[in-house]
Amino acid sequence: MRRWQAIFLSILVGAMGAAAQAQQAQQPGSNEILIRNATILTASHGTIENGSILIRNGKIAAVGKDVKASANAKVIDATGMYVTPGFVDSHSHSALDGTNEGSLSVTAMVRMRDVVNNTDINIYRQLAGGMTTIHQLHGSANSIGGQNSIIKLKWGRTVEEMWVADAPRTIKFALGENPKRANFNASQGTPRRFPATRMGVEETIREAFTQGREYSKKWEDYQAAKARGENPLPPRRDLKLEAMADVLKGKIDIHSHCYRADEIVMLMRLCEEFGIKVRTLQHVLEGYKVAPEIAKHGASASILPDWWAYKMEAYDAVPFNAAIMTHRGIVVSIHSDSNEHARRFYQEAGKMMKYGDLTEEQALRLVTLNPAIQMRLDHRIGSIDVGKDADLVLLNGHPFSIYSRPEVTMIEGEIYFDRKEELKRRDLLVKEKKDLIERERRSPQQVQPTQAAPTIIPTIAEDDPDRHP
Amino acid sequence: MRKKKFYLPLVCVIVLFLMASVSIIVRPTSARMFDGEAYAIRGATVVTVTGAIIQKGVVVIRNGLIEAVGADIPIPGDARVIDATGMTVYPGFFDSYTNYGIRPAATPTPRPTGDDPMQAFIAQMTAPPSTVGLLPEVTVVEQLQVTETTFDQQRAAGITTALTAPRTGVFQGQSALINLGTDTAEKLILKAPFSLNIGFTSARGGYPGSLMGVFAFLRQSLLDAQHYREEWARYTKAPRGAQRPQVSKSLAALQPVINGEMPVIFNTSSVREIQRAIGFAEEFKLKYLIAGATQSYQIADYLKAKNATVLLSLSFPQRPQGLEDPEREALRVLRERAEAPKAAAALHKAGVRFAFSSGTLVRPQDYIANAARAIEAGLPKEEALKAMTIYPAQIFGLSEQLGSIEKGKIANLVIATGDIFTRDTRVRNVMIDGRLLDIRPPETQRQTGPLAGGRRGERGAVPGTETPGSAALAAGTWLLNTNSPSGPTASTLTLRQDGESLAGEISTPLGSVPINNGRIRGNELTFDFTLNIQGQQLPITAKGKIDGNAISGMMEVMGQSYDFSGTKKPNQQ
Repeated sequence: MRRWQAIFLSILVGAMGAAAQAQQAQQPGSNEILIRNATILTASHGTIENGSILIRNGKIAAVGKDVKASANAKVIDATGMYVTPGFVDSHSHSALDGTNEGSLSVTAMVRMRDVVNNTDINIYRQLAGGMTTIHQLHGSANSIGGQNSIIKLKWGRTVEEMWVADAPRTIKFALGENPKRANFNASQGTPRRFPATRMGVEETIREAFTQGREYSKKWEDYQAAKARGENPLPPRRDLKLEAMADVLKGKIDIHSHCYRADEIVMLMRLCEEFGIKVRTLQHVLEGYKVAPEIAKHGASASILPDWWAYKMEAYDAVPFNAAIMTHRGIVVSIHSDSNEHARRFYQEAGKMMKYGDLTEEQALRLVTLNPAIQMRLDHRIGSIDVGKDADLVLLNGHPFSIYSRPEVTMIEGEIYFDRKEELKRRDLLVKEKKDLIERERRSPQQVQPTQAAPTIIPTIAEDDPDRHP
Repeated sequence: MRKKKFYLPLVCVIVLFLMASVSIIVRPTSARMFDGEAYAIRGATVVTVTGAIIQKGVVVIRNGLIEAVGADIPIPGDARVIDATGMTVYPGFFDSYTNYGIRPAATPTPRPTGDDPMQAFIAQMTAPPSTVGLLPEVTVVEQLQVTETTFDQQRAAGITTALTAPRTGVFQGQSALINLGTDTAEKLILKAPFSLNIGFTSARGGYPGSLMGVFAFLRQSLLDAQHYREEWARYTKAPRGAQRPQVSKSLAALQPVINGEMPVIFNTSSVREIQRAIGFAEEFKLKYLIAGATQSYQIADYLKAKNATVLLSLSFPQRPQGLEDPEREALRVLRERAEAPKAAAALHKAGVRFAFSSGTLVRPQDYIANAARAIEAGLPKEEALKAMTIYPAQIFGLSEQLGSIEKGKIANLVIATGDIFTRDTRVRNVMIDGRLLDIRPPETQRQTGPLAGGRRGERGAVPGTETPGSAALAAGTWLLNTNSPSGPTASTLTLRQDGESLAGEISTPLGSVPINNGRIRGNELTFDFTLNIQGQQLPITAKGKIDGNAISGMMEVMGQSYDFSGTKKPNQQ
């Protein structure tokens, strides 16, 4: 009986599947988008004039001068437009309901993915600036901060839909002034949090690594005892040390806030002592001074393009930082670290052609392919190549011109920002707002008490003669 | 069992009640002995909720329970008859998520060591961070403080049962379901603890100090509880030759939670808070309820898919007071205000199980008014009524005792002048545990209403032109607890209100001083004061919000902020 049911079911399911396939077959190309007549800046293999990009199921299916699409494909005519990969910000604090867990010097247990805010308007503003993927970092208040999050700016979608599912785990470290001064202004009598010096920062990280190693050992001993057939009590899971142990196993990448050459070298040496590498140095203002050491260690650099002198440890910054490190073979990216800069991110990259003569493609990679490499996501984002996610920006001019602006931003083949649609909608939004305000004005008191001051009224009819209704 | 519990105390209290002649309902001259505590309400429209509406019905109440209900039933000879002709009788309303009746547990302030108060103050400030809001073993029962008048305003709105718990911190306390009567807390409790209440507000002055910290803290706490369970299970099974594990109050308190025996109530408002709460509950397979959820209309289908139960707040977002240019508000905020009343209809349409709660409503009387707004926004009227009666009773596992007018249920009843959702309807009486209680005017109106205003010659307090919140009452004596780094510090704040300005004094362990610059706008108040510690001036500014008989806010001292909460000392008159 059961068997017959199973067979029947499988036939039914099979039939349904076939029907669905047939339906798709009826509409070949309904899942296709063709962008044509564009100037395509691929970020990986040069510029294609009058080129086309075919998108199928959210992925780039073909790029080149001669691309064929099905008859049903949606066509976007991009005559006169430039297409670049969606921009990638390797250091952002946007779309989060928190920045620092600064209460302790090591907070490896906290995760930014727990506090993603999918309604932050900065998501939409950055989309309008061509941004498609951001690395949401913990702040720099402590030597070892929290685990970071990577999202795509799919405005209007849920947090789950924004998370990049196969993104690697990363963690924020911080060196220098921020972690050591985090509570300089603590109220009178409150003890200052350790560390208070750069030596202390090093020691804090070394101690956390050491504890992580011991924690790993505890679990290895437990697994070994189990393998011997014993039945030991499992060790207590400690989320902080578990994260530190994963850092030491290379399962969590280190992205460290840093400024000065001496501390940059310190961190690389400290990591080498524990057999691991720094994945990305963040800000890294004095990176140009120790570029050979950084290259040798194998770290990448995510920098502020041309900010300097905003604090003591930022005095020695130079705008040639990106170019010098790039020429040394370091994977360099530019980051925003700012809701505002992130909106015109592409312009920052353009500056680097001026300071140090980077080529156009080298400069573009600073905000596309290179941050993708740093986030280990270059297999799916960062350039316009077949097989990658269709995260694309259509600009009305070259991205390095200050007169250019994104017209359309798409993520995985779906349009999340369209300037024309936006302008059309604007009047409706203005009207909606006006109506809502007017509606409130008409009934200024939203809540009216239903109950006027009640008077106390006896409701008992005492001594009802017959006690019957 | 439960029935018996109410019997004796009830009789005692009612006898006292009669003797003291406090009741205006029972005229003193007619006080006489009855054989039992039996009542018969007759002539009313009886809305039973679970059955048909009975016109000119009779409800017989004896010993705190409903003995009979129907149209043509005899009235027992010993029953006192309440002629409710023209009235409508409802089962008592639930408020499924509130913080009524709670006085935060005050630990005694450490006595200053030696003679140097400055040293003592510094010692207090430098003590390890407070654990307030981080201990799952804290129960609401220990914090209940109920007097005759505590629930006057709730009863005036027909609310007779509430789930109550504090609303600060992460582990906010193990909640209690109570009847809002005039007895001592012990006699009012229906179920305690019912749930462990969790919020996402971080502690001050220590870890967790951020929202991500709160999640890491919660996650670690539950992992530790699991480890504790394993550790003790192993030890209990084979104690010989084994190391005895340590006992932990906190981890022991979490056992029923991780075992799915005790539900968790998450205190939420925004969509993403709801989603985070549900994500967390699923991670640890917790039994959960979502409280607040004012934005749930956006995700009704998601809540249905998750089979979630919502304790929907009727505290709709309101236009901020003193807003000069409405254009400056974001469209999203305006939309949320316009949409909030539609939440109940959306949940109902999607088939999500929900009950109403007052959430952070300032005035309990707005509870019914806002339920009426939910009806205007598309919720069927009978559903609105059920969301205040039988649904919460079912959600809380009390449907055998409460939630409808049926034989054998607890006699929690509301006698109203008509349909409760109609504007001019008033609650005449409520009956709680079979005790008929009179309705006192809501305090807000007693003190800043036209009468009080006229008497005191208040400036600008013209009734009807003020926004409703500004009637919130600051005047009176407030018992405060401040979460200083060394734990809760008790102080007493005495306020006099004249229109929007406040005067008074605050009495702290470091001395009593007058307050300055006291102001109240709507229900938000600010004031400052300066403590003098051995010639050193220590300025402190305070900012708070009044929520009925509760107050909460922040005090700022030397750049550090500490939250405080408290309750109003019941009026003695």
